[in-house]
Amino acid sequence: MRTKVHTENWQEQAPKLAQMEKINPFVVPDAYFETLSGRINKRIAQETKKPAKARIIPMWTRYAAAACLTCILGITLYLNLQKNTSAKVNWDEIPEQEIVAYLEMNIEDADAVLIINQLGEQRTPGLITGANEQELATYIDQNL
Amino acid sequence: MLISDSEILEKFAKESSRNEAFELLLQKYQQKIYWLCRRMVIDHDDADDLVQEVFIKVWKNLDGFRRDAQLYSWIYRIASNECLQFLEKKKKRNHSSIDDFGDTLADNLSSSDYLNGEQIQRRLYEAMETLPAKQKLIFQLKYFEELKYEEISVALGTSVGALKASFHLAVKKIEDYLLTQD
Repeated sequence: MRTKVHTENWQEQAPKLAQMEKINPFVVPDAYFETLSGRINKRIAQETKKPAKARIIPMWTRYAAAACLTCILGITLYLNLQKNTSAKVNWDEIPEQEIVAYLEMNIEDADAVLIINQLGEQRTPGLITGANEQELATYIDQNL
Repeated sequence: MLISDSEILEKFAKESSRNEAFELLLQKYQQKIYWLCRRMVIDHDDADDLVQEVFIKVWKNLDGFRRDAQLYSWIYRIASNECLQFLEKKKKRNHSSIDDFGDTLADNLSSSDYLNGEQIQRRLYEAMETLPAKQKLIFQLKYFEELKYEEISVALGTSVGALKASFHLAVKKIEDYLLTQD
């Protein structure tokens, strides 16, 4: 295909170029243009079917996430410990009647040994008048 | 009879005729874009890759195309950017200066399996290889594609005045090259 160059005002500046015919010196493989649109459509189909790329998470975000998690766990643990410590019972604030009622409801036979030992250590004269230790032990064995 | 750009766009806007519209667009522009790429990069395989990339981008972005520009100007713009980016990447890969890079393309020209034509035509292409990439592109769009300066201005985003200056400079360099080869 040959077409005459449309001469413009540059032809005076470049007469040799202006005289040249426009010839395309390149050639393409056989049937190239007949198959080009098919290959382009194929590429487009491949591009649109491509699965989404796996998201790459930078290392610094992983470290930051781990640090945040550690902080949250640490704070939670600390607050729990604080709560348990502050839950100490203040016996002075509990009325005596409530303690007695609790003991009556919950005391068991196994506590008898402890009570006996306590009695042995803090013997109150008024309580053991007229009874020796042998009699007292017998009584406890039979009644508790 | 070639279909008009506005008809292509109307068909493309409808889901049912989208593929047909794109096929029509390809038939209308694929050769023009191929030759633009081919003259820029010389090698057929490179031009083939580029023309495919151009039309993939056209497909992906045609939905967002605003009709305040001509469709062909927009396609030329995409093709021009692709060619310039390709040449820039290739130049960096070769770690060569612009002048050396021009020599490399000129070597491609002489060794191309798909090049024939008269000696004078070869010399014209050799002369074009001495131009910086953007100047070469401007020369092509004006000399071969015969676009108006206003159309090239839209395609390249360069002022008409700058285009005129660049084209005349390119013409002078090519004329000088052709004269020295006589």
